[in-house]
Amino acid sequence: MALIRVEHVDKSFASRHGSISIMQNISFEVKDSDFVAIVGPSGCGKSTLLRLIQGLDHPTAGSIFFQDQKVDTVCSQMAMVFQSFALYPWLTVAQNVSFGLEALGWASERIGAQVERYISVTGLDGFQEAYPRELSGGMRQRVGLARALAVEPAVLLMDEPFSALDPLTAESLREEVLQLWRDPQLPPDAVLLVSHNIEEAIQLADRVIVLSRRPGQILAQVEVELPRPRDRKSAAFYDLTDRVYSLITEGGTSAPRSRLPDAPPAAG
Amino acid sequence: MPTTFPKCNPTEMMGLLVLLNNHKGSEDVALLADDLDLEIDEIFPALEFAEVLQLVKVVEGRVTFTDLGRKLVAVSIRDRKAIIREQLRKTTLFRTLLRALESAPEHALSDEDLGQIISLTTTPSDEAVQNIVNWGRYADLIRYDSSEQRIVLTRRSTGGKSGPGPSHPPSPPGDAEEGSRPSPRNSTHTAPETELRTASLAHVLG
Repeated sequence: MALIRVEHVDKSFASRHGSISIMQNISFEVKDSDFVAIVGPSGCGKSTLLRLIQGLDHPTAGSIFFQDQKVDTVCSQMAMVFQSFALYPWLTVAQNVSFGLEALGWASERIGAQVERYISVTGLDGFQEAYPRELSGGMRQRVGLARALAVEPAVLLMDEPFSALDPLTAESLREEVLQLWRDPQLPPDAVLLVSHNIEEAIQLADRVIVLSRRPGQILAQVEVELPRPRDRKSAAFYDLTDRVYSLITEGGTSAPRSRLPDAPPAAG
Repeated sequence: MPTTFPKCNPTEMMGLLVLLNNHKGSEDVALLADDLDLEIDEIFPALEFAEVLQLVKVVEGRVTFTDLGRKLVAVSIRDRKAIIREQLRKTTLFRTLLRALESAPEHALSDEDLGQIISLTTTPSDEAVQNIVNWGRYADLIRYDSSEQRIVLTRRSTGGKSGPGPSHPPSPPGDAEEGSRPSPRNSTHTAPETELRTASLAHVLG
């Protein structure tokens, strides 16, 4: 059964000169145990799409369903990990992780054990009492991950989660996210990742949804059947990367480009 | 030149090991760096400390997993910590630090105390102190009290002859072995030598 169904979604925003269409006619599904990546150039509505899926914003037309229920308010079965980590600097690691559980109204005696479990599975043991400023970027994003997983979401939504990290740290965290996703004892069941980095998408996902430039439309859904861990230098990997690049650069409305536009600015 | 001080954080080193695993566990150092569009010197700190922890060995510019390194990448995030903890305990740096903590009042040391300990072999800097604290915390060997800026021994590691014994100055980390340790870039030393060195250190440190 599909966990998420996105059906003919349009999104536009009003401006002084009329409405601006961000995305048009987006339809796809995320099934149980899928790892799906969405790639596309800046401004194609990737992050907006994640917000719509979680119910933080509403489509202008079309519908989004979670387990056949229409998403019209924030869906507690999904949790988001952000590029900027979005931690509260005045709270410790443990307090940041428990924050979401408190907001969901968990009983305080259940919160402690839950926080401990997710601090442990994300490798944060020893940092419970640390404040975000004491942590490296990689450790901060682990807190973001622990906070998201602590609510035991069916779907983990990740919005450019590795783009503010140095390359080695990003490599480590990508592998850890795969490990958590594959562990049947742990959430999430499915991951929906937004990335401007095509190699990263192909390295991680089973399926890559390729969006065009604004207004974002689905150009293709590319299946990735390479065994993990995936060798970025292999011919098969290179072919897939090339195919996705070509789709984006030739599928847009203006002249072909050899590279995607720059990454969104990294958070400080 | 002191080489056993971490110049990377644990996540960066794990990143290097994950990368090496993507390359089937053995790769030319330059090609490994190139995979992430990095220069060799940018992966060097991670490579160096992975070698100190006996997780990889570098021979003639090629980096290869040790058995332990291969095991590390195969186990869960949680279990990796236990391996790192045991390997850190074997380093001169952490042997010295843990001994100092065991002998210190309340099993606690200030940032300055830690700076003093490492100043015997390197110029103490905030970055050096922070890296060491980071590794110690990651491995759950120490805790850090940020309000008082002091390092505290994690209860688990208070084994053996801890307690209010006679307080003697900690042994300086690094001795002869620090200076003679070859740089991993052109290193040809192998794991048995490293173990030998660790064994002789155990003797030195009692």
